[in-house]
Amino acid sequence: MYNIFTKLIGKKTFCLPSKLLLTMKITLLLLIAGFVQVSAATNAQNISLNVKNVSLAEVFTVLHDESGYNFLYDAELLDRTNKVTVSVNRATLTDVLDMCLKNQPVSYVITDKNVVITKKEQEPVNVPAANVRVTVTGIITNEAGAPLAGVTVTLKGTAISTSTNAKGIYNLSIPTDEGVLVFSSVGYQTVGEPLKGRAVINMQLKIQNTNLNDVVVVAYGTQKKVDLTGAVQQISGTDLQNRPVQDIGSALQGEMAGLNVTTTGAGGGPGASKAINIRGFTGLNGNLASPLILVDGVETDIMSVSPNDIESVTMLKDAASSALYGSRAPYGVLLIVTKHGKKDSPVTLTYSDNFSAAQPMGVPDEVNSLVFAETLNTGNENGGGGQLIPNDALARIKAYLADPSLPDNVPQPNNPENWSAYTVGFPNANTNWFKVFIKNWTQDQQHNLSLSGGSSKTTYFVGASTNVYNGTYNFINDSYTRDNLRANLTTEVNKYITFTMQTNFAQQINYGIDPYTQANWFQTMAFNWPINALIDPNGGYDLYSQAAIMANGGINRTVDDQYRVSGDITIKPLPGLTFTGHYNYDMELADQFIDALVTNYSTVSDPNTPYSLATSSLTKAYTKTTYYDYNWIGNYEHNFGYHYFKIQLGQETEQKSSDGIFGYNSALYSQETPSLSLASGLAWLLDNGYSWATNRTFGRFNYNYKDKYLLEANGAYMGSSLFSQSSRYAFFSSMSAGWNIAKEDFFNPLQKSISNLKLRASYGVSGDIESLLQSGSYYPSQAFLGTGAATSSTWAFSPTGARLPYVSPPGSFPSPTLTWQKPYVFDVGLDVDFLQDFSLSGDWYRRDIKDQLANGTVEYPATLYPSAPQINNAESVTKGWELTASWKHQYGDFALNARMNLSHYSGEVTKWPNNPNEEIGQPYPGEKLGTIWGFKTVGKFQTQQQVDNAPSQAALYAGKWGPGDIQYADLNNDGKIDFGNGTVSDPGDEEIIGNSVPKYFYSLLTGASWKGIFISVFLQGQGHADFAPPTGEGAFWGYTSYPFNSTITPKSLDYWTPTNTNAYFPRPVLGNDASQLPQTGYLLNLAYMRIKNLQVGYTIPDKYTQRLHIYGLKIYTSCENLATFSGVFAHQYYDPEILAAGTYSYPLQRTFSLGLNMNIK
Amino acid sequence: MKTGNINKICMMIAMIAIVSCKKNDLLNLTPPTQLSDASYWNTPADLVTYANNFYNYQDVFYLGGNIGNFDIDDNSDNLLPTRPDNRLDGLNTVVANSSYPDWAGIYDANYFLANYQRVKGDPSVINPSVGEAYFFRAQLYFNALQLVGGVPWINKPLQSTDTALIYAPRQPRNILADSIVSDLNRAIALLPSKGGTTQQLRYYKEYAEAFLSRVCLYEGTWEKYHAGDAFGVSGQNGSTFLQEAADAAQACMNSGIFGLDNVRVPNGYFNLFNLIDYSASKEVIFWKAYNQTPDFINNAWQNFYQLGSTGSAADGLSQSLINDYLCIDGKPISVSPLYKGDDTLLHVIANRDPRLHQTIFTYGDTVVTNNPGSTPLFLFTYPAFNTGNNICTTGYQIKKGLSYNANLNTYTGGSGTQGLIYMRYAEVLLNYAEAKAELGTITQGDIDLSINLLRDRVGMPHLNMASITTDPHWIFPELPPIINEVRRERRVELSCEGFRLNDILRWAAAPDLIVKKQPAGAASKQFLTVPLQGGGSFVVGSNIFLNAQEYIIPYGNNPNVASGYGFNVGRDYLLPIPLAQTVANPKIKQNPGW
Repeated sequence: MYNIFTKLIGKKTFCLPSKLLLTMKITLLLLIAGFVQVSAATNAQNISLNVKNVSLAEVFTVLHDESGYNFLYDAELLDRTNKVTVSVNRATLTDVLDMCLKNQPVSYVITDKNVVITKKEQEPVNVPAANVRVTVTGIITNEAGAPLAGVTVTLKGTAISTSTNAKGIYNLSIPTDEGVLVFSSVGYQTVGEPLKGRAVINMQLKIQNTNLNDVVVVAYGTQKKVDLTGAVQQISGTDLQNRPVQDIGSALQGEMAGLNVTTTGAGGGPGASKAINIRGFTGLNGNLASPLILVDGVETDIMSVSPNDIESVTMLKDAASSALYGSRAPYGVLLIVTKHGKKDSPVTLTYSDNFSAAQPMGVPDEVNSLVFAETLNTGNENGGGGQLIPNDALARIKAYLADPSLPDNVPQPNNPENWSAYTVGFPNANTNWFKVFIKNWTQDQQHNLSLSGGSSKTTYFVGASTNVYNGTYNFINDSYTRDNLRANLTTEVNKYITFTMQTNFAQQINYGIDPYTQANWFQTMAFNWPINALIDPNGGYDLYSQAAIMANGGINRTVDDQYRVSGDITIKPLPGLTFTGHYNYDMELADQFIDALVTNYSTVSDPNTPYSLATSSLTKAYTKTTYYDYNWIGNYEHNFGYHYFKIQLGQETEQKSSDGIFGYNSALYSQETPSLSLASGLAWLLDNGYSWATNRTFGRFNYNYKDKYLLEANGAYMGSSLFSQSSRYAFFSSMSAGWNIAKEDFFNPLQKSISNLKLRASYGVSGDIESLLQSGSYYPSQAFLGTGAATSSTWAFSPTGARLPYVSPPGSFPSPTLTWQKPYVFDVGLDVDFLQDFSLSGDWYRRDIKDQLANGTVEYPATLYPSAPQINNAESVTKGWELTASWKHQYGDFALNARMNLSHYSGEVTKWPNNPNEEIGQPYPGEKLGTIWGFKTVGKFQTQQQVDNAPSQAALYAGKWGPGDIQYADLNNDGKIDFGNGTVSDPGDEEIIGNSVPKYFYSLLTGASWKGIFISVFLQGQGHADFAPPTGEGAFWGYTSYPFNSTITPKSLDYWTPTNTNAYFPRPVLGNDASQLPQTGYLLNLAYMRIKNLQVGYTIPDKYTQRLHIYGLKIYTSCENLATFSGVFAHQYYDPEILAAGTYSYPLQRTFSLGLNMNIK
Repeated sequence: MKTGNINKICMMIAMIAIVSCKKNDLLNLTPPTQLSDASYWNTPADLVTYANNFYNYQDVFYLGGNIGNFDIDDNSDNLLPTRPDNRLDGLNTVVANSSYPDWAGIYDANYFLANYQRVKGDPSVINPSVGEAYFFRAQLYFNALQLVGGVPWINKPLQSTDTALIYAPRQPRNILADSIVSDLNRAIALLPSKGGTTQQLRYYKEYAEAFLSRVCLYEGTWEKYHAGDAFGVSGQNGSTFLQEAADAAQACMNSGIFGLDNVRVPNGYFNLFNLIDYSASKEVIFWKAYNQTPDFINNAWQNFYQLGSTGSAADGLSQSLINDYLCIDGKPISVSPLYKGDDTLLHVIANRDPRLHQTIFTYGDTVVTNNPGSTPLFLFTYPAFNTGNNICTTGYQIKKGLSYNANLNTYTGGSGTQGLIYMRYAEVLLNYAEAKAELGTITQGDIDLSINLLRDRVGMPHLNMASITTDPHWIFPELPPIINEVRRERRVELSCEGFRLNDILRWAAAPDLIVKKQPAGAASKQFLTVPLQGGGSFVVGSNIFLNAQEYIIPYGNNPNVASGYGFNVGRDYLLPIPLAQTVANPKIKQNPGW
């Protein structure tokens, strides 16, 4: 629409009615509000200029095109002007003009839509008169040329200071024209510039590499990194982008030292969340409790957050940092801050997407049917059971392998109506069940759209995203879908009051497998024999194939909607004094639908026989969970002299409530219309709910002297509905201190190379109710009566049989003294920034968890009924260290960066009075958490004579031991191998053979960029960790029991035979898994290194795209889990990352993706 | 610091203080879908609902091959199961853990008693529930007393801080018995009289009285006959309890609400034990109805020996029991001219106390194996000598408790609906007679009020104190004749109802009845030629074993009983305390001999 304006340079004036301009702006706004893609019209507020050594005349031509303003000038005036080099993005016209005309003998005046260039009046430079106040002005930009607001400009050594306005312009009136102006801004290197009599000083500030002045998000506020005394680590949301992962949990893995993200039993399935933990063990049972995860200050399920909405993630690791959360954050906090618009920034529409293809990792291979059958027979014969699969079946198997057109199954000999099965008759198919049920590739996608911007008073951010992840199963399209919509709005009502309003909606849909096989489908696959048929000769699904159940047996679908609205008001009544009020309301509606449908299987006469064992049924559950919290926080900070102090006092109340109903009915009238009303079974309906609340008053005091000596004290007085009134409230406190050694005078000589050296220490205690909440124990201090319906009564109260409902006494008693578990955390840390580019941060910590709740497994006399209540009588300690090192450097256009995280933890039981005999298998004082007890492997018996001469192993297996079985060492030299008393003092021939806790965790994030091309590599892994494959576990040992645990992979075949005496595995023996006990010979080392992510991309220079109003267009390819290096693979198809969670877990995926990001203005 | 700063800080503190007033109400949360103890105890009806649960602790007999309480005597000299009873044979060991005493049930009662006073309301509704709790607790402690003797007396729900009670030592048995008596007396005072509640099958006052007579007789005779041995109570001869037993029985008798059923009715004794509904009975004091709704299938206890089909019997009456039945002249078989010997079952029952034939099968007895009407009646031909575990071990197959209605004595479809008797008036009469006899104060009048009523029912001659026939085979020749006869009457009347073992134990009668005894069944000759249901026939020394008199000895090839039962009189009168309990509480001392 701007095309209507003729291009006029120095010829005519052209007036544009200002009302029209206003109308245009309004139209634009409406367009934005309507979510229509903005046609990115340039306006007066949004000019980008990137020129080098060009004449002003040329500049004006460009500016006219950009702005639509007419430029009026006398051409002669420009003769005396210098050429201009300017690089500026999205600045206002006046700013650009200021920059172009600085130090030029011309000036400008804007009238309506015209820019008039005039001759500049003589500037009062070089007037060295005393008492003459001079005004210094200038524009401060970043390296990209964008104006920087809020930069502090100070005349060095004086209190005279000002700061730049929204346009990056400052005016400072000073009594001298000599001296040094100091420009400082958070996140930028502070520079001093001598005045030398100039009236205009423009500066480009460089980003502070060492991030010393970064503001770090801390509990209920922010703090300069240099002033931090606690153990805190922060990463930017951009670190988590461009990753084809389902959730933030996956993206955070390896990002921060001490943040342990592990796979749960759900493995890599769609919608599977990760287990998150900070700093290791949180209890003597090896618990790894989750930290408190707050999104914009509100506890949030991390699965519900879109990684693209994240501005920053901060981890509070020690007690001092998390103290204000009292008993809600005993084991650290993850503070996630979502994006907000920036002040005085134009409307920006950001779009990104990611299309990926994923392949499951670590899927086992299976041997063919003949090898399987023969191995099975070997195992059964070794166990004395004779030939399991008879010769006629073997003959059929061989024939079928040679000619797959033959029938893969035969009718059962004694029951010719049914097909043979592994239980009788034996089919002769050759099925690789992993190949049948697992897809080679799946496709996922992410789309994110956000709109942000701000005026001088109001900022906004609206983000929408959708993500679809498909599971790897065949026959059913299991999937996880998440949609997010977030809007954050902040406005300054006046100079005293600011409002913020945030809303978020997240919907997650888990669509999965039918109910009666959902338990562990991967295991079901593994247990299915290769000789079983998928499809019987008459074309129907074989009964044991499970395929029909998978495909048509029903589904399990959960739709989880989360709504949040929160509002903040900040009042600044007086300088230095701030009050913030916050209110938040969350509602989560979870709707689960499970139907079990009758499916068909094949019998000899009918390929579609209804599967009679399964009665159709339907389960529906609705759960509504609400959460609100409100808090008031007062802040007061003040400087006097070199002393700075800040006092913060706050009050917070929160409550979470849940209410769910659950309905069930069976025998559906129609499989097509599953409804509780359309079922003829016995319906039942239950409800379930809980509620908990906390209330706390907290305070924090900060003091620092010259930024050298830092001190912080925290306290929280906290009450929880979990405990009875007498033990409800408790006070938790912590102290921390820091010493910025680099700021000491004596350090001056070193300061050039070491810019920052800080020593920190903290100590504090918090209370743990999280472990109770996370275990669903919402009323641990209350006694509940049991109830029994009339139908469950065994007594009839009348001769005709009338039964009555009843109430029974509490099944367990709370201890009257039940109270918080108390983790005491001591932390000492060191932060160093050196040689400009390097920074290093290390922490050592010790967490003593006292008053742990322990189940009364101590043998109380039976008179204490129902049972000994939980009491606070156990202790454990977790110790560890973390190291983060980072480096970045710029060689011209070439930029490099690297960050390394390294951490370690270990735990030990320090007090556990409930196991006085120190029985192995229960905690005992001195036990290192993760300890694995087992036997020492001598080797495999090679001859019967060796068996007969060796110490007797009859205590492990009373039957006959033979060549190929494992020989264990007689560690206590008593002539027999046994478990002794099973106590630490008498462990028989067991000893501690390993520990399952990884020795260390590490990650390395490196990146390089050159002229818009970037590459980053993210390596993640762990050090030595022991894993003893469970006894009888077919996934490792191969064929161990009948008919299950019989996964025979090509690797399982390396078992002992008289001709393969050097085999890895012992001989297979049905009915004797005593060779498979935890032992030194079969201890796997789970150390691994994974190329977690590899990204290559290119940011197309704006000059090619800006005509389309597209900026920062980046295309990239990103690969997740590209390669894994581990010794585990040598022995079986195991994924070291998933193994600790379970041997038959949903596989993780290797994902290749293609994506793009762009901003539209 | 400037005053301005202080003012600002004060302002801040004030503001926070305003919003942070204590919010205890907010933190007092109770679960929405669980029954909180704090909010339960409100109305008397709540007490009734709670007390309903006490009845779920009553002995129940479920589907699965037993015949209710009619085979409890397998642990005594009355019935001989397929394998000898471990306790009689001295083969018990100290178990690691066990559910006796039933601390769960005691806790249930204690919890009620600790909380019922929170309810205010009509005492006529409250009192019965409280009485039920006392009665229930007494019942459980009495079970413990019979099994292991004295146990700690726990009379409140314990917290882990109640160390003194958790680690309490065992009460002397007489003190425990006193506490049980005290509970029962409270129950008697609080419970309504029979018919005083709307629900028939609840505890009532006279049941508590009857039960009190059982408890006191037990403890009284125990103290009397174990006086001086390791199980006795020093300085006690049991007379206090015996007097209480007599008084309690008398109170019950004087109440006038009980009587004997089927007096002088043919087969009346037999017909007492196979009813569905005992609500009209004057004799049955407390019973369990199995006539429950059909969706609850685990309600059948009757799996009676099904003759002629696959058969299922797992025991048989002993000759010893049979011998105790008098002849119809009121004389024991040792002296009565009417005794016809034991050659055949028909001889055994000839001229004998009619209760004998109403307790065992003989030839020609009617048995029903299928639904009435659909198939003909089945007659008893010979005992269930089939193979395997399901065998009549002695030739004397139990008939007491059988119903002619097949639906009631099989568990097919779980539909057995026959009532189960826990206590009947005959026991009270016998308790009365025995207590009086033991006290030495029994009179002919007492006998006429008790034993002779039982004899009248079946038409047996009266027991006349003045002319008791001397029986050369009295089991307890060292005891007065009247005690021998009272005990005989008790054994006969209550045979196979689960009383015998405790009678033997409290009478310290193991030396007379158990120790070194090789228990015998019927005379073998009558059976040696019968075809066995599993095929084949008897071969002496192979599948049937005989004693010198050629009576069947079911354990003839069992090495453990080769020289008779190994019952250890220094040990086996009480069960051992489970190991877990003595380990956890060193003050719990193990019973003698263990």
